[in-house]
Amino acid sequence: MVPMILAQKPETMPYPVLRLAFRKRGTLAWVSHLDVLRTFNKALLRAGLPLFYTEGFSPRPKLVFATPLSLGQESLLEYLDVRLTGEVCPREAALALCDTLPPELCVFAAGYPGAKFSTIAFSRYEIRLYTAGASGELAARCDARLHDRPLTVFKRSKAGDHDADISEGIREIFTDFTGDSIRIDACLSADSAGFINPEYLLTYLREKEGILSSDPLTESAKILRLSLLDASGDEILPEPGCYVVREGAEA
Amino acid sequence: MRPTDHPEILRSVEKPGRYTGGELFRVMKDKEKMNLRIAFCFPDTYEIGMSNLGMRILYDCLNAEPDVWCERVYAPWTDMDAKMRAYGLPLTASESGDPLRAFGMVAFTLQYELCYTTALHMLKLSGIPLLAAERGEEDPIILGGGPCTYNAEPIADFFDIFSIGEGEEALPELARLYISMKQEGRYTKEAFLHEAAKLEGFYVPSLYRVEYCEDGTIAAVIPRYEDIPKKIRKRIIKDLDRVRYPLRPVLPYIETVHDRVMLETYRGCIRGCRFCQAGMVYRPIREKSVDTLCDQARTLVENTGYDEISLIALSISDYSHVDELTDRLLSWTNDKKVNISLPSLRVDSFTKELMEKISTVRTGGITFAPEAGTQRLRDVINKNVNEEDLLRATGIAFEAGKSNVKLYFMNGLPTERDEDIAGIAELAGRVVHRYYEVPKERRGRGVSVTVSVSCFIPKPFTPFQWEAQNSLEELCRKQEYLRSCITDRKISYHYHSAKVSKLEAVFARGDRRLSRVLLLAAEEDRIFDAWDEGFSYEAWEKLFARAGIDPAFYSDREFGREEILPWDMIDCGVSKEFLLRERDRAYAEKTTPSCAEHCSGCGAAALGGERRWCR
Repeated sequence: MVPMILAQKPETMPYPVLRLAFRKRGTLAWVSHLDVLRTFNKALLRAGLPLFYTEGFSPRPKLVFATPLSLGQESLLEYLDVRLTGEVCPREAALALCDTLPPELCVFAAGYPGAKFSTIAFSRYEIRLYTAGASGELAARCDARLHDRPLTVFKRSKAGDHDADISEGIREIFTDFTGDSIRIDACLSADSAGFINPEYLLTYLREKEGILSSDPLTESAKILRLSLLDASGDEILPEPGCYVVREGAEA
Repeated sequence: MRPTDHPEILRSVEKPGRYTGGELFRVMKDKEKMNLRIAFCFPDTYEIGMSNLGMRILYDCLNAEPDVWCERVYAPWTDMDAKMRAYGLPLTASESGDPLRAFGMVAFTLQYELCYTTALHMLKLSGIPLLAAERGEEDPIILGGGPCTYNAEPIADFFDIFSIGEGEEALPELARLYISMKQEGRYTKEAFLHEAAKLEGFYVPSLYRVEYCEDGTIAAVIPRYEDIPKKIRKRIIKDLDRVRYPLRPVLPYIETVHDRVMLETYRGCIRGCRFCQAGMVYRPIREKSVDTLCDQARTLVENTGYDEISLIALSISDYSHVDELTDRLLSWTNDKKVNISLPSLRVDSFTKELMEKISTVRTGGITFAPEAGTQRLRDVINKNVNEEDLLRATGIAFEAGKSNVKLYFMNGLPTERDEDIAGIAELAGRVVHRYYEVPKERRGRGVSVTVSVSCFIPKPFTPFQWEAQNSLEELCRKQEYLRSCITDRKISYHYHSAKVSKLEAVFARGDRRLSRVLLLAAEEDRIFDAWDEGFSYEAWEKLFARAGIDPAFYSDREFGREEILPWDMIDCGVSKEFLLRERDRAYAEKTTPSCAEHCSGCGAAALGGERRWCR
């Protein structure tokens, strides 16, 4: 189904931007941010949306992601803004995209944006550690470690590789034992200056507690982004309006 | 068990998306309901395998059979390979995640000789015995196809069956034979191979005995049964408009080498360059109609969302209706911001109109292949282009604002002299000069001419199949000589490794005795010989010495006109008489007109076909 174009852009108005909320689950965790971008480029074309193209020698659709997800991580909520040349019904657009994307990359909501992406201050993650010695006691030790101040990790950045204290960027963190795994619930800085990749927490625990360092066939970690928050800690939710949830999308 | 079951392993390798599958339009079936499961292997990385048109086509054809499930398998890169071996993880198929041993057939597409070690390694990772003679009733049938099967003798000991020629109709036939023999209870491996050998286009190497002369050349090739053919004739698709074409190809998430719509326009080539195997073995030329191509292009763009259509052919400007085709495509592609790319342009049929068509949406560089530096040598190889053509074509490109031109050449061609090599540098210099003739305001900024030189490799079923390859020292000397001839800083010079080309020549014209050296290579886990990361000439020298084989016997020796060639049991449609005639004309520096001008009587017309040039 191709969404109906409701109105062409009047000359004086800016190009409309459609905000899509999507999940990234399962095998799609192993598809890099750049490849997700390429996947959406193709899906938007298949869905027949009236895409705005950049000028110049190599015209491209204008796509802006809220905050990229690292390779190997899953997410319940990601945002993507797509610039269009005309308005479309968000519900139809979301349904058309749902039809043409794999369930692991399900677009579940679409609307015209409210909050700017620059208001995103924190990401909340659930990290699960599957390790042979998982227990309440180990969870408690991990919890204590993750409250260390300073919490120094080796950080790679454009400015150069260096040791850095990331404790300032942890808004909240707690760890418990769920019966089969150790679960860490972490709310970490996500603004562009102080972005903290949850992988750093794993690196720290690997170093200090020796977890995840023996057998990659039996030990593993899963990182799931749960939500995006603004500076006051409120969740940034899809705009009220259109919601589409596809059957089995949670699988 | 799938790679996704082991996140920590995926976290530790480069590009884990190579191994996780789950792509859109992959074919999923209920394995309990299948009568035959085929693991279709590409013995190179995912990015290269996913770009292969032949595999896309055959995946679609085999999966069109309701009781056959064809899945994809790619070679793990060295990092993943090391992990799989360290933790005892078997190679698995992308769709089901099942190990290759669970399949009835394991098929390999053999695109280039240097993939042989990787193919064997994939069998080894799967725990399947490498030698056909050591595999039993419970092991999968190992099938090979693709261009290398025109001389598959070096790998004959490892494969059960080779499919010769185009597989769209042949492979489903083989699958049906397998299924019916299983269902009727008359299947044994031996009986199946015997029956397969009677189907047109299938070569079962174990059913042919090879005898050798004292000098090492072949004395005879003898079929073991009277009811199997002495010569195996390749299969072709007679009507390309009526054969299946994949309109919903598997869409990769990660970037692959050819990540675009691949629209095959015709098979074969009217030109007859004397070094070119593809130009001979894909004869006779058969075209798709413009109507079919336009329908397929539109459907493919709608289904995939790709923003580029590549018109696939050995020489796209020779398509008989190229203007009509590109006009009709451009009537809608520009509005959709879809680019049309023409990857194989000849300088003599390149026009301003064509140039304008390909540069309407996105711009890029442009590539031509004069192949040789002087007219004399271009006549020897029957390239049938001249310097004026090249300067005219590059002039058109420069006038249209292009400033990057890439030129392909070959070193070590038969009769080549140093003046031909110097001619490459001179020709490139004249192309640079042509750029400066374009008024400043009309040309792009900063001219760059890239000269890319490969080494001549004598290939089976070409007029040069009997030629000796230059020695390694001579190839290297020629490469250095050309470097000394290039003084213009606007010209950049790249060349292929002479050592890699040497090994390729050995396997291209090799016979069954080379299986010995490949077996030793497999023991040492040699893989990815086509990659810098995998190739080691020194390691190969040692392997040949251990196997007691002189590689120069295959690469540096001129084969005798009367000699039985290792690939003589294959009939590709083009006759040996024609190849010999062409070889003689090469030495006489005489060109042969293209099929469009005059039939040169190659013999392929007898294979039939619709919409072709043969009369």
